[in-house]
Amino acid sequence: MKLYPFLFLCIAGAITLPPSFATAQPITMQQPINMIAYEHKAQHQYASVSYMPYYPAYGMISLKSPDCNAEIAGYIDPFALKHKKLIITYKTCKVSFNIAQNDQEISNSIETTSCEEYHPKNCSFSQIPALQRIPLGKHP
Amino acid sequence: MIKKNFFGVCFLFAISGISSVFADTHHKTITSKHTQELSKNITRTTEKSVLADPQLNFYSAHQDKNNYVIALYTNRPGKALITYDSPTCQANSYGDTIIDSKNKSQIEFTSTEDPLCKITLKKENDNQLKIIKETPACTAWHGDFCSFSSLSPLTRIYPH
Repeated sequence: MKLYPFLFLCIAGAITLPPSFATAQPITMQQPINMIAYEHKAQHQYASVSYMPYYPAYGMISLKSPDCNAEIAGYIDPFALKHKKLIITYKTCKVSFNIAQNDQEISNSIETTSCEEYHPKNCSFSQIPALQRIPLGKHP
Repeated sequence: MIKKNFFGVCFLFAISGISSVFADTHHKTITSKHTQELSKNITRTTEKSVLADPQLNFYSAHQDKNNYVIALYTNRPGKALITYDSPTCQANSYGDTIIDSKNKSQIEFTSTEDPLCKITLKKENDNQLKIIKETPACTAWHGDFCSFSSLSPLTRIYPH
């Protein structure tokens, strides 16, 4: 007799629970990709940045236009990533970006002077415009 | 008589000289036009290549808990990234690629950290990438528990 109120509470609770609790989430076999990429496509300019978010992490930058063809690849600073800064380092050349718009954009590229060695004089990695994230999705 | 012959010879020399000058000028004009057209073509080709610049290609393969992603340009030499995620090994690398001059579908990746580690990739059906072979030096990089040679073909995930 004393169990009836308890059972009533259980049934009432099951009915009033939000749908997310009531229905089991489907288990997906897809796994996230260890690669994040951004690009900018214009008629006479193409720029892209891609990197691995997990250690040991590397990244690469590509800038292409009629006057400039520059590429660099190097290490990613994992500590800067936590502070929404993407820094790619090759030897003494460092190129940094601000990660913004909820990780959907990187902008404000700045390069150190030693990066001049890796691109023509008339262009620079600092000229890279804001890049939009490429939706890479998950592993099929 | 001698004088007449002398003048005649001089006249002939003069005519031949003038004609050769004209011929040279004509030849130079053709060459310069050709050079101009060639330079125009080069400029156009460069512009076209920029306009139709292939995007960075991303290929991915997933098998059990093993994930692999390769980012590279498949139509021109350039930088490339390789990431290899599995429960037994984490092997990421970056380097340079070159396109095989004899077989355009073959791409050779050379690791920047260890130039002796080279991976040969083959582009198949325009949306698949197969790792054909790797040099023994790559074992030092990814360990004994994983090898790119046993990898199933990677599928292009971008551009779609």
